[in-house]
Amino acid sequence: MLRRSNRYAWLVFAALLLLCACAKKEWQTYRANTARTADQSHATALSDPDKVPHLAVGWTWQPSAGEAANFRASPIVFDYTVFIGNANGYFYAINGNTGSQLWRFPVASTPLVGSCGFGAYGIQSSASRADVGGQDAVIFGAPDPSIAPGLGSARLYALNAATGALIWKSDVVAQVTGCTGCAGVCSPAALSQLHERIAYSGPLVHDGVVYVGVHDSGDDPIQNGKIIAVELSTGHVLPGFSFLATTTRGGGVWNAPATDGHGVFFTTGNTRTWNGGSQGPPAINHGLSVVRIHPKTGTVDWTFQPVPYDLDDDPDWSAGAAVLHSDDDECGKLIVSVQKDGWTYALDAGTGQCKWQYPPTDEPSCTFPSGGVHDHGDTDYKQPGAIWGHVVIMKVGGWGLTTPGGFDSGYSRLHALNACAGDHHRVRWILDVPDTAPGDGYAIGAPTVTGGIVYVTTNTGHLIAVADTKLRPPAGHRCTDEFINPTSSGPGWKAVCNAHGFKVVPSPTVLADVALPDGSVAANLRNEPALAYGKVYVGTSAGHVYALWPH
Amino acid sequence: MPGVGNPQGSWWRSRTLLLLLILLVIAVIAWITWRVSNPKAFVDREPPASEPEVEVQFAGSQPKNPFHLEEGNVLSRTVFSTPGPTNSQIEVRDFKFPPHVRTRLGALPGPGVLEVYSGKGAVSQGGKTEELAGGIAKSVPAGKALEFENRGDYSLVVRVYLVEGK
Repeated sequence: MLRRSNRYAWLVFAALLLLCACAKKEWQTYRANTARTADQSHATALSDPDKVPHLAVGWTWQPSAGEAANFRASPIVFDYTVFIGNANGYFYAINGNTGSQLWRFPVASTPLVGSCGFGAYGIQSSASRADVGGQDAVIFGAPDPSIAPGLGSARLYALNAATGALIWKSDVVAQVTGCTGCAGVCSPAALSQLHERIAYSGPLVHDGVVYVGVHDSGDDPIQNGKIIAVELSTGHVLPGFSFLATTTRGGGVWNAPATDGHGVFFTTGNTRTWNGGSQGPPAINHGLSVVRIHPKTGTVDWTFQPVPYDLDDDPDWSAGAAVLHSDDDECGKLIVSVQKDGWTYALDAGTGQCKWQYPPTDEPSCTFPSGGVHDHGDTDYKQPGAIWGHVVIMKVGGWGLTTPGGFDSGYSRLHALNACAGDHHRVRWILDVPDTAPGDGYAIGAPTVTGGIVYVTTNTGHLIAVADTKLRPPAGHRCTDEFINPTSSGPGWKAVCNAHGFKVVPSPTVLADVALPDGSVAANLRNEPALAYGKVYVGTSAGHVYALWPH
Repeated sequence: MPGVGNPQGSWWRSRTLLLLLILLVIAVIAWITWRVSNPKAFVDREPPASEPEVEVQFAGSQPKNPFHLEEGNVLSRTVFSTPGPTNSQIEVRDFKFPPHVRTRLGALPGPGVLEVYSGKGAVSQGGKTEELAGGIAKSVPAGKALEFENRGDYSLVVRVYLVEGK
């Protein structure tokens, strides 16, 4: 038995250990945390505007020869280790300091890829850190070829973070029961099969439960959207929990759920555009919505659906929800997201009431009336935003959406939006991100932020770092409506901008623009630059993981 | 017996208090050390800066198919123009009218249809006024001046489909 003094000594030691463990300069899940703010809140060299201009590639890693590699998932980083899955069906752990591989899962030469096209996506789900029965673990979703008949039904995997050993495989959470697609109108065979995926949904670990979204494969055909909850300790699906997006098809969950500690939030895909789009709306339609569900039961607390069924031309809501918590209660707790059509919303987290819409449409509820003329189609505002204090940094459509043909004008552009300001002061700054190939919906990835310095990747393979205007003087100014500029309005463009009700706003300074050796294939749909331990980690579609830091 | 002086118990109580005090001091030192070595990154919570008084440099991209400025701060552009049947010309034009003002637009060279893309207001022609809102389409005759009133806070954006006789 320990002497009492020894017990106190152990207590002191444990307290110190606890304090050390709290030194979170890590990036433990997609978008950094369960609120999905993508904010590294601890100061490092990456938040120092004097050091960031010296950003350069420190190390590069790629899978072994023969392992075809395409990183669509984003890295997470803790214990000085980078964890990332690959579309080749393998999950890797890499030493964050040296870039050497620590382990691979599965060790065997059978990767996590289904035999059917609907289940052949490998690991595109970004991982999350969790404590599973005292083991430090990483959890991600992937097809399991061992589920008969091997088409690609998927489940969650929990691995020991230090060794890569399997802790559990969850029950099946997404099923692929056939490989018959639709060509326009779907055959009965295609409609009778399940083509479910968990490709783009990173798991949310919260209060002993793991949540993951289920979506389809290219709407071929649309599957019913779901949130599946499994027990963290065992991987078994929780029997008392259920969320289905519709009573028929649609409302796929293409994103990683978020939480404010009370509810679970996510966004859902389209409902109408399958089988030629001729069918009526389902009796329950939570498609094209921001949704808050109860974490224990999956019952819907509220939904927000700005685009009605008759205007649903496939503007899936892919970006997911981010929680903005204004700790001084200036604007409460907001759920912020951009729909695929480029319109941006901030909702009251408790009630789902729309607090603002950008650009505003003068509709108090922020919804679009039936028969409107705006585009609500398959455009590409799919990337989630970063939350820095009261500022939302995001790829959004902006005022270009209110002018015919302007639906794609925001593809290469970052907006910083003041979440707690009025409409006239909504825009903090706008940046046309350099080194992007124009017209591409994937011109930029999902931004991340630390200390007001924003990091984003481009479709020409560049990593860009931008300083908020509080850190560095802006490079110049512009009108919030892009169509008002010196070319259209002459030297008096500022006056014209103000006369139209818009605002002249800063364009921030680019601190660093690093060309990654992968070139134009370096960027990807959902890749985010993970900011951990003073380093930027990115995975590329050419199959490399890069670590960059100020040299 | 409880409550009766016990030199050994008193010694233990003193020692316990001392250890607790040491524990507290260590915890405070550890906390301060942690805070110093793990500073929070800067977060700005001040209101956004207002537009500078000095002349500013433009730093934005020029969109494809730009507008040009007309009288009354109206912006317009032709997005499509092609010869039509029986010696006609078909044009599609966009207009952006500034808010809270009435703007007179010269007579159109041919009949057309206008469609409101965004904003709200009214259009008057020959003494007749009609309400405008997003999605509304109106036919407009040739040769009559149009007056647009933008009743919103931002641009009233209108697309006009014109058939012009040559």
